[in-house]
Amino acid sequence: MSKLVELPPQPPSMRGFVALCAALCAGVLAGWCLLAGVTSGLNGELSRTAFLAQTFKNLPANPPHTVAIGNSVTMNGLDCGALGAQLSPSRETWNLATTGQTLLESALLLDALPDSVREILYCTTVDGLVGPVINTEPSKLIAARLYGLGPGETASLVWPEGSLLPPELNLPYWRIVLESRWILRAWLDNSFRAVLRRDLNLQKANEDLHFPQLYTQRIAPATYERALQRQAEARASNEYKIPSHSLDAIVALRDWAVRNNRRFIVVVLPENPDLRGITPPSLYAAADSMENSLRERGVEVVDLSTVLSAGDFVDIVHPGPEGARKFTDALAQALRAMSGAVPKP
Amino acid sequence: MIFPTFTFLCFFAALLAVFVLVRAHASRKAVLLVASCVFYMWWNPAFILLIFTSIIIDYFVARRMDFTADQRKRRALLVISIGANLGILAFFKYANFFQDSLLWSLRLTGQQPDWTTLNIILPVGISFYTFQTMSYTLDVYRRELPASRSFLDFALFVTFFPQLVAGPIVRAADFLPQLNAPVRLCFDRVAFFLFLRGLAKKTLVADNLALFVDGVFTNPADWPSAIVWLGTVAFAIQIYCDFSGYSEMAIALARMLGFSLPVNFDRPYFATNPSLFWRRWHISLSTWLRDYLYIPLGGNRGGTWATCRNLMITMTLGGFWHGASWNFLWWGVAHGVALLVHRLWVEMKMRLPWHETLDASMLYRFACFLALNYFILATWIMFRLTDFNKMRVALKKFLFFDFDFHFTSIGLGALYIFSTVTVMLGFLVLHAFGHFFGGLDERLSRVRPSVGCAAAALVGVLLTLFWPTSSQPFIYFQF
Repeated sequence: MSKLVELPPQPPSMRGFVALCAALCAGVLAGWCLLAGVTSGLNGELSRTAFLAQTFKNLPANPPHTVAIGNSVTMNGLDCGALGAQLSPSRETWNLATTGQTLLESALLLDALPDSVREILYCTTVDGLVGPVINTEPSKLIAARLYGLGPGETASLVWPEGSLLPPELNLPYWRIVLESRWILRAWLDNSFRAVLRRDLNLQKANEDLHFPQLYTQRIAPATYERALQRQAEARASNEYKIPSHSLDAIVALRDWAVRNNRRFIVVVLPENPDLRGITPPSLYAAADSMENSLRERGVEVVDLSTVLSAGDFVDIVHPGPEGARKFTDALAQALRAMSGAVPKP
Repeated sequence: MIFPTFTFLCFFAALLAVFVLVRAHASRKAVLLVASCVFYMWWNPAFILLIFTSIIIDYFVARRMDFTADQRKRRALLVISIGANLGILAFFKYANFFQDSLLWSLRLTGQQPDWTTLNIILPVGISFYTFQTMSYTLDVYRRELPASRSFLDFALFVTFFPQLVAGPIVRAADFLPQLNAPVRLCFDRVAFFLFLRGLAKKTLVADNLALFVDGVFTNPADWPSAIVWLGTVAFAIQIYCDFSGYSEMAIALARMLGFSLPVNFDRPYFATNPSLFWRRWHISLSTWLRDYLYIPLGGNRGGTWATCRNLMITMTLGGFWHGASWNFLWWGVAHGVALLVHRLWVEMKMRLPWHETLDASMLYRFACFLALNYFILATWIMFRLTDFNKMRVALKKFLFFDFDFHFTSIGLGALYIFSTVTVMLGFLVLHAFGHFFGGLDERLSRVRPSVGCAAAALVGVLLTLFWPTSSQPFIYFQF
């Protein structure tokens, strides 16, 4: 015979049990209220999205003329303050990049852009150019909804025609609040990281509209090598073909921009030459083909993927301060060289 | 259908509503049987036929066995039952494995066979209910238990939904007698807090750690030893909380329905030797293996070497029970070797004049605790990684520390390393508290009602705030 959990000799009254269940439900309700009250204000990895959404609602006196959208490479590598100052005439330029930003997230931000914006720089890495552009984690969409960004015209444009937008973008408010609980964990992680990684300026990364550079110190050589090796394996196992939807999505965004009297430029971000050395040539062939296809369809493309050396990066993908300066200068030069008229779709 | 879902909540509420309407004893058992079938069929309706095949074979074989005194006939009937059960298990659980292994062996010899892969679906809980029905016929064969006269009772014993898909493995001798008494609902605070304890272990600890563990073990070559160590400790906690959490929820649900199930875990990581560990980890399986495999093989009655052989066979098959993959086999072998080494060490130690002083020493016991946990952690790597190359890399990083950890390597997001450590520390503190002073759920079931309600509300808040948004399947469902 096994050791059994003993049962009471007489069944107890249900009243105590019902009271406990009621208390549990009350706790769940209290937890929901707590979530509704705190998650939107917590500093998690998507705090920058919250900050941007808030800034769009309360625009400063000098609203942006040009905005850059992209991921953490854009955050770390593009000083929009310096970029705007170098353009002629100088113009207010904002860096709207967020960590791991996908085209769908970009679209959610574009839908909320202030009317002052006349120029959009869509910054993408070489592999981003030929990768899936819309696959977005549900948690990010939940956070975007929580911060007040909703699906508009642009989000529908980048999403494949005929398929429904992700369900997270259409959830009712109570579900959005409930599903946003992951932000608590992100906040906990961020708080610890802020204490342990003094080299990171998390506040600047969250709240700087011009240059939200997060990583400034070069990582340890062993870590660098390991990351390079991991990336080499990942890149070697990929098959690089242009996703037809990516091309259509970018062209649709350009058309949308033009309809709104805005200029839309695709900027290919600098790539670490060490990565180039370990990458199958098929990636670059596909990227070139994508760039050519975009140009054939009238999209302006600035390819700055080779402007930096390996020493300009703090890790395998993020430019350091010197790399950012070089890239910003190169982009300013390229933009100055481009004609000012908004191209027709 | 799994316990921590809204679907299950509705299912259980509906079952209770029917119980309120149906008062007759036999009717309540029938309702439970139907509910158990619905519970199982929610996953895949067809496989209920497989369970009933086992039920029908074992019910009639046991009945027939009970009626005959001829030992040869009884043995033949036992062979039919065991053959049928193991045959079903072997086909559904191990056929793919044997086929892949055969293919691999043939390719080693230069042959290229072109037969089609079987791709058989593994029925959920097959290992659990097969062992349960086998123990029944073995008990009847040994005349330790009379064959059940009621098909309804026997079918309910096998399909009883709280323990159907992931245990605890219940013995007929423990369960069938409970069906003779009227089925009475038992909504007490013990069941409530035990369920909450299991739920919290599964959702707040195991599922939160799973994000980190999956990140580390997807490709251990990417991480330094420190992260592999952290991932391994996290997995040790994850699998314990996942499985013991399920068992506790199962025991609590059974208790609410008026049934008593066996305890399945007893804080195994506080054990100080492998033998003690296996008396505390998945107790219903280890006692099953002891009673129906190790002892029939001869147990420890045939001298040192026979004991060692029996231990190795038992643990290797125990490892293989977990899954049709080489890593589970090696995991079982490793535990068999540990039990064997421990046994030899105990025999050697007993000859030492100061062995009593040694056993009483806190330092010695602490050293045993550390050594055992170091071994257990290493074997969890074998358990977690089915890919041999990844397992080799992870074990190397675990055993030979590379001192290559920098906080500057931790970027944004990625693994949620800090919150993972927080969850681990929180669990370890509560676990140690429970070990030395008694479990929180036991204490809460004895406090004043108002304090109990406050605790329930607090758990409600914690569940709402920290239940991960991505649900993780129960690890032991795959077995």
